[in-house]
Amino acid sequence: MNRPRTATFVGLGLIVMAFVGLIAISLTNALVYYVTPTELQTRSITSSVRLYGIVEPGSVRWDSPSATLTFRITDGTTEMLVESQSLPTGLFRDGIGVILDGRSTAPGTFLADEVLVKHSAVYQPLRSGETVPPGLLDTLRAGTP
Amino acid sequence: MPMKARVSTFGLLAGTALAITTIVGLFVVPADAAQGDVQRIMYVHVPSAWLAYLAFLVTFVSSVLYLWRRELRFDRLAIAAAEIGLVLTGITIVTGAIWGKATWGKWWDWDPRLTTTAILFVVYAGYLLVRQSLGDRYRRARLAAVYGIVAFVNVPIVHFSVLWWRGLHQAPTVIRPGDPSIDHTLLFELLASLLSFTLVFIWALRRRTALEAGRDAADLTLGPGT
Amino acid sequence: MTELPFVAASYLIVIGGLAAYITSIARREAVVRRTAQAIGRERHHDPGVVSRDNAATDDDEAAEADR
Repeated sequence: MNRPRTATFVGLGLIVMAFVGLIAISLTNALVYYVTPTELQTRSITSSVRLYGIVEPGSVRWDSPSATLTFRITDGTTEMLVESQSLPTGLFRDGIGVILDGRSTAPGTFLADEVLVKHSAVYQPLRSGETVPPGLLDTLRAGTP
Repeated sequence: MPMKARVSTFGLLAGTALAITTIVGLFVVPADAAQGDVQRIMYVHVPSAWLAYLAFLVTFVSSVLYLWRRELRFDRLAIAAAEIGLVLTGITIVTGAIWGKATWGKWWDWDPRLTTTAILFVVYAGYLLVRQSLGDRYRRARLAAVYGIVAFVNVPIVHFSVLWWRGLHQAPTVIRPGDPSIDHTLLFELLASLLSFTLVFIWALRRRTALEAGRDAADLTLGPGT
Repeated sequence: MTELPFVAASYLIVIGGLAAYITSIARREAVVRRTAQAIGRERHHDPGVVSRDNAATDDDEAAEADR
């Protein structure tokens, strides 16, 4: 009777430890999951960081020769100019939330290695006859020869 | 494969309901105005996630009942629900990854919702492993019940992760205070899909519990030395 | 429509995943059925003599036997 009991307690102990460890990791990660432009500037973070902001309508530009995307994001208080060579998905558009992985290269500018598009959790059907409008990025890229 | 096809009326009903809501979700309801067709993944991703919650709730309640009444039928319900919950959590994670790639631009990210869901999966995989490692039927039931109660703490953590912490995953659309932020046609299909998933869940739960009962009957008949 | 493969893959995974799980239950049911039949032949009486309800409420004797 002793052998399985010991094995059980060791097994349970390991699982509990793994569980607590993962929770702790998720909590610490989550607390710093992203910063806002205001936090980035006041704390003057220069290391690699995740940044969240809303794409300012009308600010998106595509530079074809250098294959660089630039746009401004805002958290309502602080604006930031973003430069990226990594392209977001078709959901990317004016006024949508984006999460950027990268670093601040100069005050007020951010170089993003990755642009993730956050979904708004609002769902509206297409009306009959309508199609999904082409992505902003596709339109911009088509417009620049 | 020597397998008798024993399809009950209820199983047939559940399968038909699932087929109907799948066809409606894929071909009948309009696409989302912003996301397009990829939003249709929601009709399988969200019900899978909710029913995984429900499955683990069943495990939690039947674990409590086992410790109280010490009747193995509660333990059999607990293992059946946990196993189905694990399958549904797996489906949730994979369909979520596919949707994430199309929408966010990434298959996986250590976002709070995704991380806590991965933990949920590991914890319930651990539940099945712990059960397998225990030979004594009654000790297995007792320890599994304790585990099944403690593990349930994860479910509210997963659900509220999108509200408690900053992340990539969007906040709840339907289970939240106020009107759901989803158009009612799309919401109707989501709830219809939820209903058919629920029927499939109930059917699988009954069948999986009966399997466990059959095992117990065989094992207890075989007696010592086996 | 570049997103159609994503939708198709998701639905295939759901249907395929559920089908695989149901198959796995059926396979395990077949094993239990064969065991029950073997017991029946060995003991010269009907399989499943310990009914579900007996198994559920059986006491320590059965627990010891299982050990």
